[in-house]
Amino acid sequence: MDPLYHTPGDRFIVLLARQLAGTIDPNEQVELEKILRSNPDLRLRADMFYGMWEQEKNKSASGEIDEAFMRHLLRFKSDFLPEDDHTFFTFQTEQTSVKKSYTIFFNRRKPMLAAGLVVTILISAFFIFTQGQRNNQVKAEQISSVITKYGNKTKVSLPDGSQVWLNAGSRLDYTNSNFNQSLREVKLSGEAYFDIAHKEGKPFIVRSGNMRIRVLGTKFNVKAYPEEQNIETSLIKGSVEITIKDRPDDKYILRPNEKLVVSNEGLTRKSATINQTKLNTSGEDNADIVALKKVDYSVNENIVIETAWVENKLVFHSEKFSDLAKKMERWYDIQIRFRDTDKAAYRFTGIFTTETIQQALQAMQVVHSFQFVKNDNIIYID
Amino acid sequence: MFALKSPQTISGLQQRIASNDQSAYKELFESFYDKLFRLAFLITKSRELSEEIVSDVFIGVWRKREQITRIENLKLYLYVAVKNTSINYLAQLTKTRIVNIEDLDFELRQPFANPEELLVTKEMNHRVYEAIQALPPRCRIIFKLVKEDGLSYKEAAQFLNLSVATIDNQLVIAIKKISKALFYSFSVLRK
Repeated sequence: MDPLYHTPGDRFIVLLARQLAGTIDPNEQVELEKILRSNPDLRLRADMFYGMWEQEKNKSASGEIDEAFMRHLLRFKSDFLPEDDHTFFTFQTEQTSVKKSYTIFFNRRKPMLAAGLVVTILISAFFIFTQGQRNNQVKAEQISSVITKYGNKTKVSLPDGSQVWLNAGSRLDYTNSNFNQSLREVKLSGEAYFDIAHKEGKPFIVRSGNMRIRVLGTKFNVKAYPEEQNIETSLIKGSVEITIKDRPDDKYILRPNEKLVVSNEGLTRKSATINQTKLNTSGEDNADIVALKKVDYSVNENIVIETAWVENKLVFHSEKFSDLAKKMERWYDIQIRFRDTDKAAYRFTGIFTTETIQQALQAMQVVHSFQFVKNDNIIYID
Repeated sequence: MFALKSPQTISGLQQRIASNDQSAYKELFESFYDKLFRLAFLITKSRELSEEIVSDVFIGVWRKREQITRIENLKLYLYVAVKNTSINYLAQLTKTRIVNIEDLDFELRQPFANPEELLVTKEMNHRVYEAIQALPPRCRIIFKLVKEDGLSYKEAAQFLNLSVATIDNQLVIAIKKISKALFYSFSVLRK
């Protein structure tokens, strides 16, 4: 027999251990109580252990868990929710400019909002959870979503003082109430320019597609439209660290004026091949997934093309018409169709600021010959 | 405040989650977040990664909610899922596989949450903490799982792939050593 079981004191410990673990049987329970009754010293010790176990029932800072739950919801919505699953999180929304309330389902294929809504919409989404059905108490928590339609841009101030410029056709999600407390995390679909306030020990994280960008305090641009082939991160100032989902061991550290291009499909599709400079990675076969480039300067204007949109400039440098067309679609809130696909390969360099779509296309006709027809919101290129 | 849930409460939550009850889902998350986070942290040593792992496991719970009632012991399921996910993440990151969870180093909580109420002195609290820290690794993680995570012998045994008898023995050793540390404190107090 195990030597531990020999003396009455040791038997007491065996029984106490089982009781603490909740695996004691009724006979043993009786036996333990008998020992405790006849021995005040052991009773005192048992009480100390009960006290030690008791505390676990009162553990946990609820604020921290609330915060963690909100971040969990953020990940949930944009990373993992299947396209057809709108059973989760039906929420009421409030709108600042229009006094009306909408119900939004997360369904990426369908347009997020009914058509005809004004300009930029700031939505505060209140997640309603009934807290225990007994008292019927309702607790509201907040995730903020800022959505821009095509043809519009907006600027957002986050609770921590960081500034975000959101380009057309984009969406930014963040938790409102506890944003400042530990991790600052936002979710981006589309394009945004970030000017992040430095907060010691509180990294700022941008999730976008399969990419995760971690920064301390810095200025950078992220372009991650679901319909485009590549996701681009351009660093203007400071330093950012990027990891890609499914490849957590590869970290890309950008320096100012560098840009990282990652294939949107993640790991299978080939990204544009560009003059590769140094990559801070351990992998050797990354060329087909990512490319590190210098950000593009427009030669005459001395502006960074990647962030020119922040200043209301549509800048392009030796850009293929097909790529430029996508930018113009968002910029002007129109659709461009190539009836002559040869024309899609033309390359253009230039800047648009206040030009209308007609003026822009007419200017482009000077460089390359093509015809265009505007039919409602669709422009056909011949 | 999120108390340890009884098995009945958990299976009640399971039923409600299976029928699309979001508040039950949130309650489950709140009940286990802290413990699962600490378990993941024990393996990965990274706060961000640990949070992501727990999130991943809970996303899985919601996605498979129709089948959730088929899980016999949801609590154990969550623990094992977080353990496995953590080990896989770490394997990806470091290209090494953790063979034995018992070999992991981790920090315990303070043994007494409200020492004043129990008339526990600082010195006593410290001695008990030291006694727990000094336990052999296997003994220590078993003590942690039973005390801090509220696992039963059977659950701890399944989690660690050990026999119930081993859990029983090891916990007895732990209680005995702590008891000695306490007893020493008492005798000092009485002098």
